[in-house]
Amino acid sequence: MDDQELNRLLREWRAPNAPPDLRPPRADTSRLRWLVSGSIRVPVPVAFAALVLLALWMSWPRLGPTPTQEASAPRRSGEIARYALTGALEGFDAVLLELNFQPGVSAPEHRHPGPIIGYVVDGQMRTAINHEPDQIVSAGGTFFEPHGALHTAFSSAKPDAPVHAVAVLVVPSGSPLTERAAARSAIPAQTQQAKPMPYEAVHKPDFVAASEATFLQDDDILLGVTSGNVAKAYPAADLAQHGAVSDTVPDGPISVTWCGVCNTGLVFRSEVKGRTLHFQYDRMVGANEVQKDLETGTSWQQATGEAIDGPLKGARLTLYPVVRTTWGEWRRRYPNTMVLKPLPGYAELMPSRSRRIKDITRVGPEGAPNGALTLDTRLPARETVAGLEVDRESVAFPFSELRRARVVNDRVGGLPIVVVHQPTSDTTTAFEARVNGKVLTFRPANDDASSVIDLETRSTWSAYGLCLEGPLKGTQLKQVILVPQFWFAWSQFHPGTRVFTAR
Amino acid sequence: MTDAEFKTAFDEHKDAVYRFAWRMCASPAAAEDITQNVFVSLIRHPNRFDSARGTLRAFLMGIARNLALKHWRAEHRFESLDDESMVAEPVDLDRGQIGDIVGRAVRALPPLQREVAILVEYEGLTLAEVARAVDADVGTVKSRLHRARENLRRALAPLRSRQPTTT
Repeated sequence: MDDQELNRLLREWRAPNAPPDLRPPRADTSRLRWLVSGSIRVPVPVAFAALVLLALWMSWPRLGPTPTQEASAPRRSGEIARYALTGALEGFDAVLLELNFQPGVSAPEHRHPGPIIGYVVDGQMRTAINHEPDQIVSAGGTFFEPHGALHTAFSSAKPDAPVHAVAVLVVPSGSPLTERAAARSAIPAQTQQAKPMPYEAVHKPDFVAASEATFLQDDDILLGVTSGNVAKAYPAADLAQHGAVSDTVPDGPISVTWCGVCNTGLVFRSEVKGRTLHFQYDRMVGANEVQKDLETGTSWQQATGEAIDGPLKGARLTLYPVVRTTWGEWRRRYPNTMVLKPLPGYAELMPSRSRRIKDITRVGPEGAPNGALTLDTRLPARETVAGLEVDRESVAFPFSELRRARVVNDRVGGLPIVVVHQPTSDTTTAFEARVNGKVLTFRPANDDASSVIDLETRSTWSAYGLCLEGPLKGTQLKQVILVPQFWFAWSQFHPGTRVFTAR
Repeated sequence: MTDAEFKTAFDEHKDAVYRFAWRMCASPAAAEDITQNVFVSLIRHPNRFDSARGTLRAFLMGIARNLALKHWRAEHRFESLDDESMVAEPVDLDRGQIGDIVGRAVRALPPLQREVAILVEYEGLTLAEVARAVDADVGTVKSRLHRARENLRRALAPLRSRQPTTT
């Protein structure tokens, strides 16, 4: 019996919906009712003793200090206790902190000289590290900052209520509990005041010519898209402040997305069932952004393009070809490219976002972020991999391996493919390694693999799949869409992925 | 969680929770009880739901599945929750409509296979959501689903001859 037939049979079994007389329960009813009609059993001696104590308490003259105003004054934040550690942690202190933030008050950017783990006692805490999207932690929830993380948001999440939390830090003995963010002192005073801008998608993007893109450095990472005669560059440091940019290229409407936690840049066709959708950040699932479309309210997982709930649940967005590369490399290739123009206020924050994005080998203590669904330990959580999925087979090409191999001939989902990696700009491209039914095998033609040679016809090709020289001159290989991102993100959404290793 | 939010959650998810419980337990009364208790649990401890860790539906299904397993254990004290060696018997064609036959085959699965099959095939949860609901990793969910489908394939094989052959 094939899958289709099994599915058809399974559908034959229908279940009824909840009966209409099923009413939502009320949490307080049972307790309230208990207050009126409940009873408890108390042993007679205990009841007697309690009555005597009550009588004594009521007749006793009132002594001691009367409550002062201090008791109701807002609590401060500070150290409650500090203990020197011994054994393997000799030389460190464990510090218990109390944190109280009145609404509207937030901590300036700072770091701690050790890891910190916290528990929200009351209210809601807004917290973020390393300019990642804010996380809201409610009472009873916990938060964790690894050693050295830059604390970029820390305040009450409610405009009208304070937040109260306790936290434990482990710090070198005698050291202060916070350090001013080091990077800030190096930035001009004007930028120091720069406030984070609203994390909102851009639906009417503006573009500038390459010569006007003074906000970009040669090694800044961007997503490059070409369609017809148009080349467009979307700087990652700007995308990471918006989550999504809606745009239209000659091919149709697209949505250019970036998840700052996974370092995932993906471009989707935004037309679904004849309707152009506009996306806006909604929440995090599995440490990856989920964006809601404004038209139907469907939630879409960025890393997979899958509709996870809402009216279009189950639908999948079509990937649009994109190259993740550097500004220097893109401008060299497309001197006439247009560049997404940052909105006022966002350009100032691009340098710090860019530094964070370029630092793509943030391995070690940081590990996978909060909320990651699974942890596949074959690679460090934040190793950058170029992910490729063809016909349900998925492969991760770690950048560390690609820098060594530069050209990989592989077969994924039955399709012969070639992956070309230019180490200087960490630009990875992939193509179907087949021309007129004939499979080709490629080798790098130079150190940076900016051109490659196929062994079958000895033709020379550019790293972008165009044949420059030889019998196949003028042929363009069909592009296969790669998705560079952190390993934890790729592995959690593609369990069972193969990992490429260069021999 | 405000009353209005709770009401919305109830309206949005009560049918799915009820259907899931109904399929798991074969008893409308038990399904009603489970649905009630799922939402009682939500209103008493709304903070246990963390939207960063998955959808509300997966969270509610997680509670429902714990209650359904409790119900099952009360009735089958000495059976294993996931008997990997369980080989489904082919269904008896003389008893009822195709839908009932399929229902009996699904309910004959060991509970850990059954819940995964129901959540994926009938409630359309993603593997990650199911993993969250049944507190297992995605790989485990996949293998349970695979075993469940193999068992169902075997159990439902006699139904093939009942279908008009397609040409």
